[in-house]
Amino acid sequence: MHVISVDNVWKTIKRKKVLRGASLTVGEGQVYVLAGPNGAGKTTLIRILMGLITRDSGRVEVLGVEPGSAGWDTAKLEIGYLPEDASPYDRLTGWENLRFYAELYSRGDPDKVREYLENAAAISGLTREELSRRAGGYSRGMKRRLLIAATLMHNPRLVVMDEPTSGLDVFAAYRVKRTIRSMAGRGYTFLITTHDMSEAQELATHVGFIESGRIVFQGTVEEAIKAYSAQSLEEAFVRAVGGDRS
Amino acid sequence: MTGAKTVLWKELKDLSRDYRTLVAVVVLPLIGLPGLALLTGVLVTSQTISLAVVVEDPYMAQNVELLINAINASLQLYGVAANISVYTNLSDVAPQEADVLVYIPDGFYGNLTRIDGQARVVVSILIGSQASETARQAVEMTFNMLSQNIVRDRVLRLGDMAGIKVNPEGFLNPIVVERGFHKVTGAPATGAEASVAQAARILEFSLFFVVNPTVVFMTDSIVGEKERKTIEKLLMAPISRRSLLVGKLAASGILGLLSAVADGAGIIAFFQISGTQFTLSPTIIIVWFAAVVLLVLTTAPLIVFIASRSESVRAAQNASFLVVMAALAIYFSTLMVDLSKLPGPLSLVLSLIPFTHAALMIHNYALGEVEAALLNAAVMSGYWVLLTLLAARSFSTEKLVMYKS
Repeated sequence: MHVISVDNVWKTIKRKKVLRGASLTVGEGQVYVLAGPNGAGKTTLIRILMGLITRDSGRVEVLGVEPGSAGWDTAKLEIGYLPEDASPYDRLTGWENLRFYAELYSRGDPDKVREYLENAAAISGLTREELSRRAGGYSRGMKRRLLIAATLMHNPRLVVMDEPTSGLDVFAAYRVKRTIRSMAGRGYTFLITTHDMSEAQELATHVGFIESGRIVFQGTVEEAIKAYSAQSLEEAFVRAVGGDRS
Repeated sequence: MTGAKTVLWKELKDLSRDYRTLVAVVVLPLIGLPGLALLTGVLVTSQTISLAVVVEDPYMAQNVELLINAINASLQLYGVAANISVYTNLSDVAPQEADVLVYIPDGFYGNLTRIDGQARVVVSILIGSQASETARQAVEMTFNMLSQNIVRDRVLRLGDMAGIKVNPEGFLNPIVVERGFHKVTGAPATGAEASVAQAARILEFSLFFVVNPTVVFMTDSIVGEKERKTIEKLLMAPISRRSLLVGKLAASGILGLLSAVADGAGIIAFFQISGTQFTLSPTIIIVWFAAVVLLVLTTAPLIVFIASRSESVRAAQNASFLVVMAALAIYFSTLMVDLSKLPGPLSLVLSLIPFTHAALMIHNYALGEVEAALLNAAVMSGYWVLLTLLAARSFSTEKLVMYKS
């Protein structure tokens, strides 16, 4: 059974065709990296998958539910989503940020709130003292770790991360990737967007290359390298999106 | 509605640490307005003006001390402190050194004591000085009282000469105006009721201070989440749009009410301290509070509707600013204009704006028109329901996510 199924999705934003018949499938337990250059339509596709924006045409199912439909609010309980450039609430402490999301995902069940907070504290790797401080004073890396903890605290079946290491320094990016690898090892399904091919090769079991709103390739990392007779995923990606014409 | 409670908790927690907003909305009116009245009072009473009295009439010079005492008493009544210098020659005074110059020319006393004489006095003030203007009023009051005493004396003297007994007050005030009050229903009103009706104008104006923080907070609560990059994760949390909206509306409502109480208390304190006659009754305060509640409930969804229809954060903020300006125009005009007495077309246009009904609710109640006030409350409630429905329908996640920052 596919966790995500996208078939021939089109989307126009301000008269610009951002998605032109995009199709992809993500299976259970996969770490699917959606790679594409800036402006290829990665974030738009993710937002459609998350039900945040509508599509013009095409079919989408996430965990067997059409995003934005009647059962979507329940399906969201099984999804963890980390948008690109997301930020915690600066005037709330780390704990309060986590508690806010824990309350929403537990729907007020105090036992679950406690469980989710414990999960989140462990995932974030932030100390109790750090979590007691306001998030506004955190470094970029700490903010990202806090949000990743808020994304994963409720043990979601599907984790969607849009450019999770974007703008982070080497150490912070390393910690984020380590967390993703650790969660992936426990059977979580990931859909991650990135334009960093070394990161994609490091994390992915499966990849999808998106260019000008179309998925031009999808398969395992090995299949991608083989399909484009490349030495690395980066080389395969460049050939797939036609970036080596020079 | 667990989600709504959680959103409300988050909003209030966030707000409780937004010290700038809290100071501007709650603390500033509570301390600032009474403080302003105190400061103004202190500044007014601490300023001293120089008053030069030039008496060229030798007969008046003998009684100048009586005149100075009378002027001093009037100045005290007006709350003006003055250094008074007396001169016997106009050329001895440099006019630029005197805030107020009182010139009593030769012949003044002779004209006063003649039965039909008309004495002349010149009072010149430094232009652009409020204190000088107040001192001029005090000095003129002194001479008016002196004039009245002289009229009484002259009338009695003429009566003696004619051998008749006359009442000088009939000469001074041949027409006595008796003041009465009535309500729009035609029923007589007491002076206290008239004062409350007058004070109601201030309460109507104070509604602006309810609209402003509600608009600012609600706009920030919606478009600020986009600016601070928190909206997308929030929208993807398992919470319905309705619960999210209710949580945010409730938070802005609480801030609006806090602000209203602070502003109301501050305005009342301002008028009490500054000595302005400002009479309130418990029922008008209750009506004012009801108007405030309805105003907050109406304003918050109006802003959600506007923010949801805007293309960008800037556009949403600009549109919200226009709402604040509309509220300011209406509530400022209540200080001078009877909204209920405007001609038909203008009245119709204003009645389409929900803010007008909040002001009219207080206004009509203060005038004794309870039914009209209830009708205004009903219209406000109708707007509340309508705008909340519109806000809920237009609250589009797509719009919020796609906002241009």
